[in-house]
Amino acid sequence: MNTQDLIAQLIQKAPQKTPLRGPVWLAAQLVLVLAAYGLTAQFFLGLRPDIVAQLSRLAFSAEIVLLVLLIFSSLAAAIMAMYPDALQKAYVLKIPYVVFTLLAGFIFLQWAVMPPDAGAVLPVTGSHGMECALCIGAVALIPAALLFFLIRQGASVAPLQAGSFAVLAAAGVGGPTLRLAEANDSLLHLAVWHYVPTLIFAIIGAVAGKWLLKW
Amino acid sequence: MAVVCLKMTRKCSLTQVFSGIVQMVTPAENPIDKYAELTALFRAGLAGDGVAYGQFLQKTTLILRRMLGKKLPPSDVEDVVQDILISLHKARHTHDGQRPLMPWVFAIARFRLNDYLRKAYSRAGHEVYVANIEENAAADVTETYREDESIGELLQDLPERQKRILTLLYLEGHTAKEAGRLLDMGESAIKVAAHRAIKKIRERLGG
Repeated sequence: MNTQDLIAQLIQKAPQKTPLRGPVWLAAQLVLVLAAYGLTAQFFLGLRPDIVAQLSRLAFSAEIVLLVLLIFSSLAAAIMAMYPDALQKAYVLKIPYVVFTLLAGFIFLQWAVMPPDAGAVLPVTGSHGMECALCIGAVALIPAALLFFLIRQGASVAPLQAGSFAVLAAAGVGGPTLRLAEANDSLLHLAVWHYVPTLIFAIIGAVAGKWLLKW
Repeated sequence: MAVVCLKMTRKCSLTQVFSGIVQMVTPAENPIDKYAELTALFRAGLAGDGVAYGQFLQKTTLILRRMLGKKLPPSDVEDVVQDILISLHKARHTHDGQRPLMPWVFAIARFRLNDYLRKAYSRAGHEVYVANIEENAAADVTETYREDESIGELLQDLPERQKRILTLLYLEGHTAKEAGRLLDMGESAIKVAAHRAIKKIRERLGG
């Protein structure tokens, strides 16, 4: 087809179109939905018996803060990735990587400074593992689907990144929820069954993004 | 201007002097304003002005042709330009008409260009692979490595299916697609099997 004919066709296809809602509006809506979803999940999973004592522990609170930061940063990045030019704030797309690195570094740091006989390093004998990963994945399913649906309303030029951010934000909801519910502070358990699966989910999200966020 | 102003009248206010200096140090063409007209056309297009939208697309086409002309062979430029125009049209709701337009246009253009290059490279790789097979096949089957050996003898030690494939392709002159249909195999499977058979023959001949 001739380019001039194409332009004529595009003009005929009613150019008037309402621009996508602003990122702040989208983010506010999503935060509300995810918060409600997280609280519902927390209600079903319950709270760990030593929650008050744990929250007064700096390491635990810092970890929860980092997990919440991971949700917010991934959410912001996923929303920005909807716009081809990322609203000209490309740095937002890098923040989730920074937060995840901080989280991994924080876990590693705790590991490094922990006395060798500390029970907090190794999981309790007979404790579960895969259930945690599956729980994070199960909790992430609905928010991930919602985020993918939302990102598809835009026009992402980084579908892999957008997909991974969407899943990271969704899996991020499962992270703190499970952390507040499960009385297991073993660093090995957290690394292997909480954070590595979250990373794997994000990679799966990237692959899914490549296919589902085509436009 | 400020200097002139100071010299000529000596009655300039500080504001006038300052604005004069600003004018002197500001480049004649502000890169942001360079595309102001294009942005205005796009904005009018979003509001439903078909003529303005058409002008936006026309002007963008010129910019894209210039941009792609440096990166693609001339025969491919128009295809990619059209692809980008369609993408701009599809994604127009992701620009509110308020922020600078060109980063948005170029982000979409780069995305489609990369898409196109990725496909082109993978297509080129496949063509090289097929050409390589055909080249080897032609060399192996037509060249006489040993004068006392007929093609039939060359095929003798091959499995029945590979023998049949080479016979169809190089003795009976069928295309890979036709041979695939006859043997109920995919076209690429036929090519791969032929390639393997030729490799075997070559190894047997010590090539």
